[in-house]
Amino acid sequence: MSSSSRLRHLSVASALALTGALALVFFYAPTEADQGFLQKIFYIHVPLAIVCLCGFVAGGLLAIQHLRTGDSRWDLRSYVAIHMSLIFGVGVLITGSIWAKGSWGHWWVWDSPTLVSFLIIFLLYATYQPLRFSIEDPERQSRYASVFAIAAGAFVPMNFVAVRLSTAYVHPRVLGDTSNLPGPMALTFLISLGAFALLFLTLCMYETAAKRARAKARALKRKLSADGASAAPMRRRSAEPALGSATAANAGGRG
Amino acid sequence: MPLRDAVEYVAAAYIVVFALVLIYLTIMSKRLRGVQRDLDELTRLADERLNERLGGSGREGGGGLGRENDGGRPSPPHTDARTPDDHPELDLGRPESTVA
Repeated sequence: MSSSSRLRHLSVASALALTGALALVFFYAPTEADQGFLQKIFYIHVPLAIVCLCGFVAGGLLAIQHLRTGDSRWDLRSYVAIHMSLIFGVGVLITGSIWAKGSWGHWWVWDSPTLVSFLIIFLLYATYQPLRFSIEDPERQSRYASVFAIAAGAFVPMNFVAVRLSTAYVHPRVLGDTSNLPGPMALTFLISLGAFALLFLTLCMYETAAKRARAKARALKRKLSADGASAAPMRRRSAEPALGSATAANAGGRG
Repeated sequence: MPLRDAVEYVAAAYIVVFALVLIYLTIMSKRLRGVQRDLDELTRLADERLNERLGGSGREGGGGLGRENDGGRPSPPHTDARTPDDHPELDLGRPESTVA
């Protein structure tokens, strides 16, 4: 299956899964007794947070692969995973704040370890792009960014466990022994989680394909340009990974 | 909490997420338009190159490009109507092969 048709199938699957999840949230899942209708935010906030954190960890794993192989395509995948997780992270923070305002009466609660730890992780990853942008040499940029992604990726599960172990504040638990979701709620949650995971995957593939296409077009433009100076491998300073011209030219059709 | 207030909060949360996705897709489509412009420019450059080559080989007696590519087989007559599609070495790929 070609990259474009795979992307098309994934897009359709994501749209269907999201539509199904929304239908389940509003027409199937029962209204929670304590929070009432407000609890519906749970089905969007928690899956976003889980997918976001998994994306950060995936970015670290892809960065390991980049350091092992030296292939810039792994760096691109790591970059895209972290970039997409940051976007999802913005969604998590905003939906969490809205839920907190409705539920607790405050936009933000500083003594909640779950909230603060997520904010720390988000801010940590918010430095990823400036870090990349600050290094001009593409080779060094990709290596340093990979080291950062691995270290930060390892920090995410550690942080998760630390928050779980803390007992200072009781945040609703979804996964694990303390989960007390009834069947229809759990099913809706899992389908919503799957839908957001699919959306994440689709957007990552979409962005990767777009960046490869752009790199390929630029490499070909340099090759075709009659001007000798512009034929030299020139690169504007950017936070985006630099795909080697050969790699870019060969990787265009691959997902 | 009254249902009306809860509905407002829930609607706000869902709208924010879908607005984020929409903004992202808008930015990506804008960038893809940039790629499309690059590809248009590449096509123009390839056409210019092709015309230069065809013009040069035509002055040399014809068949230069054909000999290069076809291993000495007789080359077809050169006309300005030929496109980069006739020349695998100038095949720039299709936009749809890289981007959906």
